[in-house]
Amino acid sequence: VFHVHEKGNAVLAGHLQELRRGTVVLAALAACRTPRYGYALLAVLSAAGLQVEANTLYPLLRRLEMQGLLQAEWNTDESRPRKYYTLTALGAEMADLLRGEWLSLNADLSALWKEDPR
Amino acid sequence: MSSLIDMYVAQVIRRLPEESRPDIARELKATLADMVDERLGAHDGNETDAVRAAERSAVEELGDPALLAVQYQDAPQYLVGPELYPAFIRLSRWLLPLVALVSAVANAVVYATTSPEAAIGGMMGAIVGNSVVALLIATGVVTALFAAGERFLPEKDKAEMTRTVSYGDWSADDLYEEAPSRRISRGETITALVFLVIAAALPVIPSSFFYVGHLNDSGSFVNPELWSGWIPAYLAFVGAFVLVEGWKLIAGRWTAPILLTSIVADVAFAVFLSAALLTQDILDPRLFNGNYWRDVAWIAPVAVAAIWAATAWDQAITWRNYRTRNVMDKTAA
Repeated sequence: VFHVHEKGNAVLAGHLQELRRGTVVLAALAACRTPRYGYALLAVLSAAGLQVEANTLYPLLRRLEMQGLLQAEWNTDESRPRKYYTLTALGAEMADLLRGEWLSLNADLSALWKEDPR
Repeated sequence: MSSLIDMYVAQVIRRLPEESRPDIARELKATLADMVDERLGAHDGNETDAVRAAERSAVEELGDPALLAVQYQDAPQYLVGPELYPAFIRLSRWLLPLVALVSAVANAVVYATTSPEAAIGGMMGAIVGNSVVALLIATGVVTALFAAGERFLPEKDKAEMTRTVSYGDWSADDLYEEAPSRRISRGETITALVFLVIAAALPVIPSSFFYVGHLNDSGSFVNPELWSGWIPAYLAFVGAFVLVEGWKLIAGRWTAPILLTSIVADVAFAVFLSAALLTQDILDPRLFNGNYWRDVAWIAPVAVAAIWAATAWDQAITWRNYRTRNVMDKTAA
Protein backbone atom coordinates (compact mmCIF):
# COMPACT_ATOMS: atom_id res chain seq x y z
CA VAL A 1 0.00 0.00 0.00
CA PHE A 2 2.88 2.29 0.88
CA HIS A 3 4.46 1.55 -2.47
CA VAL A 4 1.30 2.48 -4.37
CA HIS A 5 1.03 5.63 -2.32
CA GLU A 6 4.63 6.58 -3.11
CA LYS A 7 4.04 6.03 -6.78
CA GLY A 8 0.84 8.07 -6.64
CA ASN A 9 2.74 10.94 -5.08
CA ALA A 10 5.37 10.85 -7.79
CA VAL A 11 2.70 10.83 -10.50
CA LEU A 12 0.89 13.72 -8.86
CA ALA A 13 4.12 15.69 -8.55
CA GLY A 14 4.81 15.09 -12.25
CA HIS A 15 1.36 16.28 -13.34
CA LEU A 16 1.48 19.32 -11.08
CA GLN A 17 4.85 20.25 -12.51
CA GLU A 18 3.52 19.92 -16.07
CA LEU A 19 0.50 22.03 -15.18
CA ARG A 20 2.58 24.80 -13.61
CA ARG A 21 5.40 24.82 -16.11
CA GLY A 22 3.53 26.75 -18.77
CA THR A 23 2.07 29.27 -16.36
CA VAL A 24 5.47 30.58 -15.28
CA VAL A 25 5.93 32.42 -18.58
CA LEU A 26 2.55 34.10 -18.28
CA ALA A 27 3.27 35.04 -14.66
CA ALA A 28 6.67 36.50 -15.56
CA LEU A 29 5.21 38.52 -18.43
CA ALA A 30 2.40 39.79 -16.21
CA ALA A 31 4.83 40.83 -13.49
CA CYS A 32 7.06 42.65 -16.00
CA ARG A 33 4.35 45.09 -17.04
CA THR A 34 6.07 47.22 -14.42
CA PRO A 35 9.86 47.36 -14.91
CA ARG A 36 11.41 45.03 -12.32
CA TYR A 37 14.71 43.32 -11.65
CA GLY A 38 15.00 39.60 -11.01
CA TYR A 39 15.02 39.54 -7.27
CA ALA A 40 12.07 41.94 -7.04
CA LEU A 41 10.19 39.76 -9.52
CA LEU A 42 10.72 36.75 -7.29
CA ALA A 43 9.29 38.69 -4.36
CA VAL A 44 6.28 39.91 -6.37
CA LEU A 45 5.50 36.43 -7.71
CA SER A 46 5.92 34.91 -4.28
CA ALA A 47 3.66 37.56 -2.72
CA ALA A 48 1.05 36.71 -5.38
CA GLY A 49 1.24 33.08 -4.26
CA LEU A 50 3.16 31.87 -7.31
CA GLN A 51 6.14 29.85 -6.16
CA VAL A 52 8.83 30.20 -8.81
CA GLU A 53 12.36 29.03 -8.07
CA ALA A 54 15.15 31.53 -8.62
CA ASN A 55 17.08 29.05 -10.73
CA THR A 56 14.04 28.74 -13.03
CA LEU A 57 13.21 32.43 -13.21
CA TYR A 58 16.60 33.87 -14.17
CA PRO A 59 17.21 31.62 -17.18
CA LEU A 60 13.56 32.16 -18.20
CA LEU A 61 13.95 35.95 -18.09
CA ARG A 62 16.98 35.67 -20.31
CA ARG A 63 15.14 33.45 -22.79
CA LEU A 64 12.19 35.86 -22.94
CA GLU A 65 14.65 38.68 -23.53
CA MET A 66 16.24 36.76 -26.43
CA GLN A 67 12.76 36.12 -27.87
CA GLY A 68 12.11 39.86 -27.81
CA LEU A 69 9.24 39.66 -25.34
CA LEU A 70 11.15 41.43 -22.60
CA GLN A 71 13.55 44.29 -22.83
CA ALA A 72 16.34 44.52 -20.30
CA GLU A 73 18.23 47.54 -19.09
CA TRP A 74 20.97 47.86 -16.52
CA ASN A 75 20.32 50.46 -13.86
CA THR A 76 23.52 51.58 -12.20
CA ASP A 77 22.08 54.46 -10.21
CA GLU A 78 21.54 52.38 -7.12
CA SER A 79 24.23 50.97 -4.86
CA ARG A 80 24.04 47.67 -6.69
CA PRO A 81 23.77 47.40 -10.51
CA ARG A 82 20.43 45.85 -11.42
CA LYS A 83 19.00 44.46 -14.59
CA TYR A 84 15.45 45.73 -15.07
CA TYR A 85 13.07 43.81 -17.32
CA THR A 86 10.12 45.45 -19.10
CA LEU A 87 7.51 44.09 -21.49
CA THR A 88 8.14 45.03 -25.12
CA ALA A 89 5.24 45.78 -27.47
CA LEU A 90 5.55 42.24 -28.81
CA GLY A 91 5.69 40.89 -25.26
CA ALA A 92 2.56 42.81 -24.30
CA GLU A 93 0.72 41.48 -27.32
CA MET A 94 1.79 37.94 -26.59
CA ALA A 95 0.94 38.28 -22.90
CA ASP A 96 -2.60 39.28 -23.92
CA LEU A 97 -2.93 36.28 -26.21
CA LEU A 98 -1.62 33.91 -23.56
CA ARG A 99 -3.91 35.40 -20.96
CA GLY A 100 -6.87 34.97 -23.34
CA GLU A 101 -5.90 31.33 -23.78
CA TRP A 102 -5.61 30.87 -20.04
CA LEU A 103 -9.03 32.37 -19.39
CA SER A 104 -10.63 30.28 -22.10
CA LEU A 105 -9.03 27.10 -20.75
CA ASN A 106 -10.24 28.03 -17.31
CA ALA A 107 -13.79 28.58 -18.56
CA ASP A 108 -13.76 25.32 -20.53
CA LEU A 109 -12.52 23.33 -17.56
CA SER A 110 -15.06 24.93 -15.23
CA ALA A 111 -17.85 24.11 -17.67
CA LEU A 112 -16.61 20.53 -17.97
CA TRP A 113 -16.49 20.26 -14.20
CA LYS A 114 -20.12 21.42 -13.92
CA GLU A 115 -21.50 19.33 -16.77
CA ASP A 116 -19.95 16.14 -15.53
CA PRO A 117 -20.50 16.07 -11.78
CA ARG A 118 -19.21 13.03 -9.99
CA MET B 1 34.98 38.17 1.80
CA SER B 2 32.32 37.19 -0.74
CA SER B 3 34.32 34.23 -1.97
CA LEU B 4 31.42 31.74 -1.91
CA ILE B 5 29.39 33.98 -4.22
CA ASP B 6 32.33 34.55 -6.53
CA MET B 7 33.06 30.84 -6.67
CA TYR B 8 29.43 30.05 -7.38
CA VAL B 9 29.06 32.60 -10.17
CA ALA B 10 32.37 31.53 -11.69
CA GLN B 11 31.21 27.91 -11.79
CA VAL B 12 27.96 28.84 -13.51
CA ILE B 13 29.42 31.05 -16.23
CA ARG B 14 32.31 28.70 -16.89
CA ARG B 15 29.73 26.46 -18.57
CA LEU B 16 28.13 29.22 -20.65
CA PRO B 17 29.03 30.75 -24.03
CA GLU B 18 31.66 33.45 -23.82
CA GLU B 19 29.46 36.32 -24.99
CA SER B 20 26.73 35.77 -22.40
CA ARG B 21 29.07 35.51 -19.41
CA PRO B 22 29.53 39.12 -18.23
CA ASP B 23 25.82 39.90 -18.28
CA ILE B 24 24.77 36.76 -16.45
CA ALA B 25 27.61 37.03 -13.95
CA ARG B 26 26.64 40.58 -13.08
CA GLU B 27 22.98 39.70 -12.63
CA LEU B 28 23.69 36.61 -10.53
CA LYS B 29 26.08 38.50 -8.30
CA ALA B 30 23.53 41.24 -7.67
CA THR B 31 20.86 38.65 -6.96
CA LEU B 32 23.02 36.70 -4.56
CA ALA B 33 23.97 39.94 -2.81
CA ASP B 34 20.27 40.77 -2.43
CA MET B 35 19.60 37.31 -1.08
CA VAL B 36 22.42 37.65 1.43
CA ASP B 37 21.15 41.05 2.56
CA GLU B 38 17.69 39.67 3.08
CA ARG B 39 19.06 36.80 5.16
CA LEU B 40 21.23 39.06 7.28
CA GLY B 41 18.24 41.33 7.88
CA ALA B 42 18.66 43.01 11.25
CA HIS B 43 22.06 41.42 11.73
CA ASP B 44 25.09 43.58 11.73
CA GLY B 45 26.81 43.04 8.37
CA ASN B 46 30.18 42.87 10.08
CA GLU B 47 29.68 39.51 11.72
CA THR B 48 31.76 37.29 9.46
CA ASP B 49 30.11 34.05 10.54
CA ALA B 50 26.63 35.37 9.87
CA VAL B 51 27.66 36.64 6.44
CA ARG B 52 29.24 33.35 5.63
CA ALA B 53 26.12 31.46 6.70
CA ALA B 54 23.91 33.79 4.66
CA GLU B 55 26.08 33.31 1.57
CA ARG B 56 25.97 29.61 2.04
CA SER B 57 22.22 29.59 2.27
CA ALA B 58 21.88 31.89 -0.77
CA VAL B 59 24.02 29.80 -3.12
CA GLU B 60 22.32 26.65 -1.89
CA GLU B 61 18.96 28.14 -2.78
CA LEU B 62 20.13 28.61 -6.36
CA GLY B 63 21.36 25.04 -6.32
CA ASP B 64 23.97 23.13 -8.31
CA PRO B 65 25.79 25.58 -10.63
CA ALA B 66 25.93 22.91 -13.35
CA LEU B 67 22.13 22.60 -13.34
CA LEU B 68 21.65 26.37 -13.38
CA ALA B 69 24.03 26.60 -16.34
CA VAL B 70 21.98 23.92 -18.13
CA GLN B 71 18.86 26.04 -17.61
CA TYR B 72 20.64 28.94 -19.30
CA GLN B 73 21.71 26.86 -22.28
CA ASP B 74 19.59 27.14 -25.40
CA ALA B 75 21.31 24.26 -27.17
CA PRO B 76 19.48 20.93 -26.91
CA GLN B 77 20.59 18.84 -23.95
CA TYR B 78 20.16 15.59 -25.84
CA LEU B 79 21.74 13.91 -28.85
CA VAL B 80 18.67 13.02 -30.89
CA GLY B 81 15.31 14.67 -30.27
CA PRO B 82 11.78 13.31 -30.71
CA GLU B 83 11.48 14.47 -34.35
CA LEU B 84 14.48 12.48 -35.52
CA TYR B 85 14.20 9.62 -33.03
CA PRO B 86 11.87 7.41 -35.16
CA ALA B 87 14.20 7.75 -38.15
CA PHE B 88 17.20 7.04 -35.92
CA ILE B 89 15.63 3.86 -34.54
CA ARG B 90 14.37 2.74 -37.93
CA LEU B 91 17.74 3.17 -39.58
CA SER B 92 19.56 1.47 -36.70
CA ARG B 93 17.19 -1.48 -36.83
CA TRP B 94 17.99 -2.02 -40.47
CA LEU B 95 21.58 -1.02 -40.58
CA LEU B 96 23.04 -2.73 -37.51
CA PRO B 97 21.92 -6.30 -38.31
CA LEU B 98 23.06 -5.72 -41.88
CA VAL B 99 26.46 -4.50 -40.72
CA ALA B 100 26.76 -7.47 -38.37
CA LEU B 101 25.85 -9.92 -41.13
CA VAL B 102 28.10 -8.37 -43.79
CA SER B 103 30.97 -8.10 -41.34
CA ALA B 104 30.55 -11.71 -40.17
CA VAL B 105 30.44 -13.06 -43.74
CA ALA B 106 33.30 -10.85 -44.95
CA ASN B 107 35.51 -11.76 -42.00
CA ALA B 108 34.72 -15.45 -42.33
CA VAL B 109 35.65 -15.36 -46.03
CA VAL B 110 38.79 -13.31 -45.46
CA TYR B 111 39.84 -15.57 -42.60
CA ALA B 112 39.16 -18.76 -44.53
CA THR B 113 41.09 -17.55 -47.58
CA THR B 114 44.04 -15.90 -45.86
CA SER B 115 44.80 -18.17 -42.89
CA PRO B 116 47.40 -20.82 -43.65
CA GLU B 117 45.40 -23.31 -41.59
CA ALA B 118 41.81 -22.25 -40.88
CA ALA B 119 40.41 -23.40 -37.53
CA ILE B 120 37.06 -22.81 -35.80
CA GLY B 121 38.55 -20.89 -32.85
CA GLY B 122 40.48 -18.45 -35.02
CA MET B 123 37.48 -17.94 -37.29
CA MET B 124 35.15 -17.22 -34.34
CA GLY B 125 37.70 -14.77 -32.99
CA ALA B 126 38.00 -12.99 -36.33
CA ILE B 127 34.22 -12.83 -36.81
CA VAL B 128 33.26 -11.75 -33.29
CA GLY B 129 36.15 -9.36 -32.72
CA ASN B 130 35.85 -7.53 -36.02
CA SER B 131 32.05 -7.52 -36.03
CA VAL B 132 31.92 -5.92 -32.59
CA VAL B 133 34.22 -3.17 -33.84
CA ALA B 134 32.13 -2.77 -37.02
CA LEU B 135 28.93 -2.51 -34.95
CA LEU B 136 30.47 0.06 -32.62
CA ILE B 137 31.66 2.15 -35.57
CA ALA B 138 28.27 1.91 -37.32
CA THR B 139 26.45 2.91 -34.13
CA GLY B 140 28.84 5.81 -33.60
CA VAL B 141 28.52 7.09 -37.16
CA VAL B 142 24.72 6.87 -37.20
CA THR B 143 24.46 8.60 -33.82
CA ALA B 144 26.92 11.32 -34.81
CA LEU B 145 25.04 11.99 -38.07
CA PHE B 146 21.70 12.26 -36.29
CA ALA B 147 23.16 14.41 -33.52
CA ALA B 148 24.52 16.74 -36.20
CA GLY B 149 21.13 16.73 -37.95
CA GLU B 150 19.45 17.55 -34.64
CA ARG B 151 21.63 20.65 -34.30
CA PHE B 152 21.90 21.93 -37.85
CA LEU B 153 18.67 20.96 -39.62
CA PRO B 154 15.91 23.60 -39.58
CA GLU B 155 12.91 22.62 -37.44
CA LYS B 156 10.71 22.37 -40.52
CA ASP B 157 12.99 19.81 -42.17
CA LYS B 158 13.20 17.77 -39.00
CA ALA B 159 9.41 17.56 -38.77
CA GLU B 160 9.31 16.67 -42.47
CA MET B 161 11.85 13.92 -41.97
CA THR B 162 9.77 12.28 -39.26
CA ARG B 163 6.75 12.29 -41.55
CA THR B 164 8.40 10.82 -44.61
CA VAL B 165 10.36 8.20 -42.77
CA SER B 166 7.67 6.86 -40.51
CA TYR B 167 4.49 7.34 -42.47
CA GLY B 168 5.20 8.67 -45.95
CA ASP B 169 2.12 10.24 -47.46
CA TRP B 170 -0.04 7.89 -45.53
CA SER B 171 -3.77 7.99 -45.98
CA ALA B 172 -6.64 5.69 -45.08
CA ASP B 173 -6.34 4.21 -48.60
CA ASP B 174 -3.11 2.55 -47.53
CA LEU B 175 -4.90 0.31 -45.04
CA TYR B 176 -5.10 -3.24 -46.29
CA GLU B 177 -7.18 -6.22 -45.39
CA GLU B 178 -5.22 -8.19 -42.83
CA ALA B 179 -6.37 -11.43 -44.49
CA PRO B 180 -5.31 -14.57 -42.64
CA SER B 181 -1.88 -13.15 -42.29
CA ARG B 182 0.40 -16.23 -42.53
CA ARG B 183 3.25 -13.83 -42.58
CA ILE B 184 6.72 -15.32 -43.00
CA SER B 185 9.15 -13.32 -40.95
CA ARG B 186 12.11 -12.13 -42.99
CA GLY B 187 14.47 -12.81 -40.08
CA GLU B 188 13.43 -16.45 -39.99
CA THR B 189 14.05 -16.88 -43.71
CA ILE B 190 17.44 -15.19 -43.53
CA THR B 191 18.43 -17.38 -40.58
CA ALA B 192 17.41 -20.41 -42.60
CA LEU B 193 19.54 -19.21 -45.53
CA VAL B 194 22.56 -18.79 -43.26
CA PHE B 195 22.13 -22.37 -41.99
CA LEU B 196 21.80 -23.61 -45.57
CA VAL B 197 25.10 -21.97 -46.49
CA ILE B 198 26.71 -23.74 -43.53
CA ALA B 199 25.02 -27.00 -44.59
CA ALA B 200 26.41 -26.62 -48.11
CA ALA B 201 29.89 -26.10 -46.67
CA LEU B 202 29.74 -29.20 -44.42
CA PRO B 203 31.14 -31.70 -46.96
CA VAL B 204 34.13 -29.48 -47.74
CA ILE B 205 35.13 -28.23 -44.29
CA PRO B 206 38.61 -29.68 -43.68
CA SER B 207 39.09 -31.68 -40.48
CA SER B 208 41.92 -29.33 -39.50
CA PHE B 209 39.21 -26.70 -38.95
CA PHE B 210 38.28 -28.58 -35.79
CA TYR B 211 41.87 -29.36 -34.88
CA VAL B 212 41.84 -33.02 -35.98
CA GLY B 213 43.57 -32.50 -39.35
CA HIS B 214 46.36 -34.92 -38.46
CA LEU B 215 43.93 -37.85 -38.62
CA ASN B 216 43.17 -37.68 -42.33
CA ASP B 217 45.66 -35.18 -43.80
CA SER B 218 43.18 -32.30 -43.36
CA GLY B 219 40.67 -33.96 -45.65
CA SER B 220 36.93 -33.43 -45.25
CA PHE B 221 35.01 -35.11 -42.40
CA VAL B 222 32.84 -36.76 -44.99
CA ASN B 223 33.85 -40.03 -46.58
CA PRO B 224 35.45 -39.03 -49.93
CA GLU B 225 33.87 -42.04 -51.63
CA LEU B 226 30.47 -40.36 -51.29
CA TRP B 227 31.40 -37.76 -53.92
CA SER B 228 30.40 -40.33 -56.51
CA GLY B 229 26.71 -39.57 -55.99
CA TRP B 230 25.54 -39.01 -52.42
CA ILE B 231 27.24 -35.64 -51.85
CA PRO B 232 26.11 -34.09 -55.16
CA ALA B 233 22.56 -35.22 -54.32
CA TYR B 234 22.93 -33.67 -50.86
CA LEU B 235 24.08 -30.40 -52.42
CA ALA B 236 21.16 -30.52 -54.85
CA PHE B 237 18.81 -30.81 -51.84
CA VAL B 238 20.48 -27.82 -50.18
CA GLY B 239 20.14 -25.88 -53.46
CA ALA B 240 16.44 -26.78 -53.61
CA PHE B 241 15.95 -25.55 -50.03
CA VAL B 242 17.67 -22.28 -50.94
CA LEU B 243 15.17 -21.86 -53.78
CA VAL B 244 12.26 -22.57 -51.42
CA GLU B 245 13.55 -20.00 -48.90
CA GLY B 246 13.96 -17.48 -51.72
CA TRP B 247 10.38 -18.16 -52.75
CA LYS B 248 9.25 -17.61 -49.14
CA LEU B 249 11.26 -14.39 -48.96
CA ILE B 250 9.62 -13.02 -52.10
CA ALA B 251 6.10 -14.22 -51.28
CA GLY B 252 6.33 -13.05 -47.66
CA ARG B 253 3.29 -15.14 -46.77
CA TRP B 254 2.52 -18.82 -46.45
CA THR B 255 0.56 -20.04 -49.43
CA ALA B 256 -0.70 -23.55 -50.11
CA PRO B 257 1.93 -24.24 -52.83
CA ILE B 258 4.76 -23.04 -50.57
CA LEU B 259 3.44 -25.11 -47.68
CA LEU B 260 3.15 -28.21 -49.83
CA THR B 261 6.56 -27.77 -51.47
CA SER B 262 8.27 -27.22 -48.17
CA ILE B 263 6.65 -30.28 -46.53
CA VAL B 264 7.50 -32.51 -49.51
CA ALA B 265 11.10 -31.20 -49.60
CA ASP B 266 11.56 -31.67 -45.84
CA VAL B 267 10.26 -35.23 -45.86
CA ALA B 268 12.22 -36.16 -48.99
CA PHE B 269 15.39 -34.78 -47.42
CA ALA B 270 14.76 -36.73 -44.20
CA VAL B 271 14.30 -39.92 -46.26
CA PHE B 272 17.48 -39.19 -48.22
CA LEU B 273 19.55 -38.53 -45.08
CA SER B 274 18.17 -41.64 -43.37
CA ALA B 275 19.08 -43.77 -46.38
CA ALA B 276 22.57 -42.24 -46.49
CA LEU B 277 23.16 -42.73 -42.79
CA LEU B 278 21.91 -46.28 -42.68
CA THR B 279 23.55 -47.56 -45.86
CA GLN B 280 26.80 -45.56 -46.17
CA ASP B 281 29.86 -44.78 -44.07
CA ILE B 282 29.19 -41.07 -43.82
CA LEU B 283 32.32 -40.04 -41.97
CA ASP B 284 35.81 -40.46 -43.32
CA PRO B 285 36.95 -43.85 -41.92
CA ARG B 286 40.50 -42.50 -41.55
CA LEU B 287 39.23 -40.33 -38.69
CA PHE B 288 38.60 -43.53 -36.73
CA ASN B 289 41.67 -45.57 -37.62
CA GLY B 290 39.49 -47.65 -39.88
CA ASN B 291 37.44 -49.06 -36.95
CA TYR B 292 34.40 -47.29 -38.28
CA TRP B 293 31.60 -49.53 -37.14
CA ARG B 294 33.03 -50.37 -33.78
CA ASP B 295 33.55 -46.74 -32.79
CA VAL B 296 30.65 -44.88 -34.34
CA ALA B 297 28.06 -47.37 -35.47
CA TRP B 298 25.67 -46.04 -32.83
CA ILE B 299 25.71 -42.59 -34.46
CA ALA B 300 23.65 -43.60 -37.50
CA PRO B 301 20.41 -44.72 -35.75
CA VAL B 302 20.61 -41.81 -33.26
CA ALA B 303 21.11 -39.36 -36.12
CA VAL B 304 18.19 -40.83 -38.05
CA ALA B 305 15.92 -40.53 -34.99
CA ALA B 306 17.08 -36.93 -34.49
CA ILE B 307 16.47 -36.08 -38.15
CA TRP B 308 12.90 -37.37 -38.04
CA ALA B 309 12.19 -35.64 -34.75
CA ALA B 310 13.48 -32.35 -36.17
CA THR B 311 11.50 -32.82 -39.37
CA ALA B 312 8.30 -33.55 -37.46
CA TRP B 313 8.84 -30.53 -35.21
CA ASP B 314 9.52 -28.35 -38.23
CA GLN B 315 6.30 -29.48 -39.92
CA ALA B 316 4.34 -28.77 -36.74
CA ILE B 317 5.71 -25.22 -36.59
CA THR B 318 5.13 -24.65 -40.30
CA TRP B 319 1.58 -25.90 -39.98
CA ARG B 320 0.95 -23.67 -36.97
CA ASN B 321 2.29 -20.63 -38.84
CA TYR B 322 0.11 -21.46 -41.80
CA ARG B 323 -2.94 -21.80 -39.59
CA THR B 324 -2.32 -18.59 -37.65
CA ARG B 325 -5.00 -16.07 -38.47
CA ASN B 326 -4.45 -12.38 -38.11
CA VAL B 327 -4.27 -10.52 -34.82
CA MET B 328 -7.85 -9.32 -34.93
CA ASP B 329 -9.19 -12.87 -35.20
CA LYS B 330 -7.17 -13.82 -32.18
CA THR B 331 -8.50 -10.95 -30.11
CA ALA B 332 -12.04 -11.71 -31.26
CA ALA B 333 -11.71 -15.29 -30.08
